[in-house]
Amino acid sequence: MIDKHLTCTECDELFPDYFEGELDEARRRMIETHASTCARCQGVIRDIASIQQTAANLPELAPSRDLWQGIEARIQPTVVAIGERRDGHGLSRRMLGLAAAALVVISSSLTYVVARPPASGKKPAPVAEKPRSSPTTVATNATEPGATPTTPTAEQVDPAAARPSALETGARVPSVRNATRSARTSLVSASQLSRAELALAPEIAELQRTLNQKRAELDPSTVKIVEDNLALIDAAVRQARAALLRDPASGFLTEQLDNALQKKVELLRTVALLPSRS
Amino acid sequence: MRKSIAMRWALAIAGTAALTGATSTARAQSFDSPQRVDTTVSLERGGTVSISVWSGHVNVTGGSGSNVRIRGTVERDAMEVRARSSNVTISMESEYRHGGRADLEISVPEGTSVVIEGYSAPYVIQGVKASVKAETLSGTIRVSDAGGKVSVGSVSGDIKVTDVDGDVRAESVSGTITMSGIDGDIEGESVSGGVSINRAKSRSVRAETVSGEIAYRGTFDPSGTYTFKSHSGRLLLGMPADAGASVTMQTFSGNVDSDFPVTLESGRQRLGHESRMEFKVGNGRSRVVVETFSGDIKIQRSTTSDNRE
Repeated sequence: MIDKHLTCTECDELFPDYFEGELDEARRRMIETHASTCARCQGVIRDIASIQQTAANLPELAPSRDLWQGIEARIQPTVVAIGERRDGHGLSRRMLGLAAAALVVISSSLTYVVARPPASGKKPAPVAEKPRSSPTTVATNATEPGATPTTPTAEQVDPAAARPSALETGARVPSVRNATRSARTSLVSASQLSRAELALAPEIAELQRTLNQKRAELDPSTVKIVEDNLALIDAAVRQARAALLRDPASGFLTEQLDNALQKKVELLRTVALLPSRS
Repeated sequence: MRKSIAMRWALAIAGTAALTGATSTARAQSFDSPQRVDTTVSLERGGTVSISVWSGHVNVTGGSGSNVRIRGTVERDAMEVRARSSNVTISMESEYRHGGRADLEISVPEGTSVVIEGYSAPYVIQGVKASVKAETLSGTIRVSDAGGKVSVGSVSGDIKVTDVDGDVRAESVSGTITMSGIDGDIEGESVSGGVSINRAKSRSVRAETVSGEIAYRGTFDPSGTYTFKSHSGRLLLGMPADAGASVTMQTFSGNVDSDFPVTLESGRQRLGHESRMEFKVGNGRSRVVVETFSGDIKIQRSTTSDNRE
């Protein structure tokens, strides 16, 4: 086995483990012996090593599903707010009571957002009703039977929620100070960001920055296509978020929002790796 | 998890880099002015042809024999053909960072896998009866009569895949994706482009868009899963009356129009705005999921032959 001379094809099969450092010493030596007399395999090793080196130098991105940053942003500000004292203006018992109440509400909202079960786990078992006659047309957004179906815009559903969020504009997730201010002004806003939004925000912001840096290198028509499609996805995010505010327990709407956000990440990743025009 | 276009671009770049590092057996042709090319190299059965052409057009056709023949015109840039027994690499060395313009007709032995990447060049790959991987930014991609795995992706170019005996994955940002005559698993994904699937014989179909329309006509295998999702794109399914399928439809504000009687899920249909409906055809063994936020859903009764032709 140790004396065996490898072919290029055999090397190809062993390369993944070779580059992962998972080959035993004997096989590793066999590859290197082969490569010492094979320009092709030498080239492969050189190029992959170069790619590994380049990849190692890329900026680190936060994991997509790391919830801690979002949780931390909502736990810390409240603690800071309670602890903040201005000289000569100590908080009254009443203010402390209100702050404590706000903390409870915010924490409850956060806990609910983070801990609620995934969509698939909470749909009620189907219960059959009287079947409709065939063919069937269902206007799903009508409030009364027979009402004209309409498709509400995000603004119609909830004008405030339909505004672009920091996430969509590529800004970082709200800072501790901003989160504190946000929590003070609106208790609803504490639960506006879904788990997916919290988790994906850093990556989206990073990729958005990459797009901004890369814009000049790309063909203008490509940039337009990308921006048009990002706008479509952002609109989908806003609409799903607005609907979710109306029905926070909806697994379907949560999934719609998650899907739209995931699409945004995928598109931005694509753009980050697009070849430049020259 | 499925690979995104981004991942596939990364792999393409890595693959190209690896191939560029190869080989003392290469043969090269270089031209300073527009010039005709006619080069023939041999390739063993089941080999791979990798092509990188920035603009122009490339037609790859499978046929008999054991040679790869490259004919056409190369403008301004230099073309390199690197040949080994099991793979042939055709790439453009350009004054620009990436490969330049070429108009090429390439014939390959049947059973040859094709890997092709570019920027705006349209690609036609037909009759290779083997796997195809194609990536482009704005060029169109046409693949027909392939086998094994077909993986195609574009940013804005349209994609058409026809008659494949194997799994197909097609992905675009704004291009239209059309797949027909696929005998294998299907995945189609787009943002604003439509995804149209016809004459499918698949046990697993997944199609997703944001605003593009999705249309499916094909068989519903008893053990199959068929998933169609959009945000605002219309979803259109042709379902034979003799199919055996359990269909679940869900929408927030879209309309549902079904040729089959549907059952509204009790207690859910007016919770918020969201509606969830179900119906069963025949033995109900195939699982069909149709979901959209605001797009319309239309389920048409079709004949089996409609879905196979």
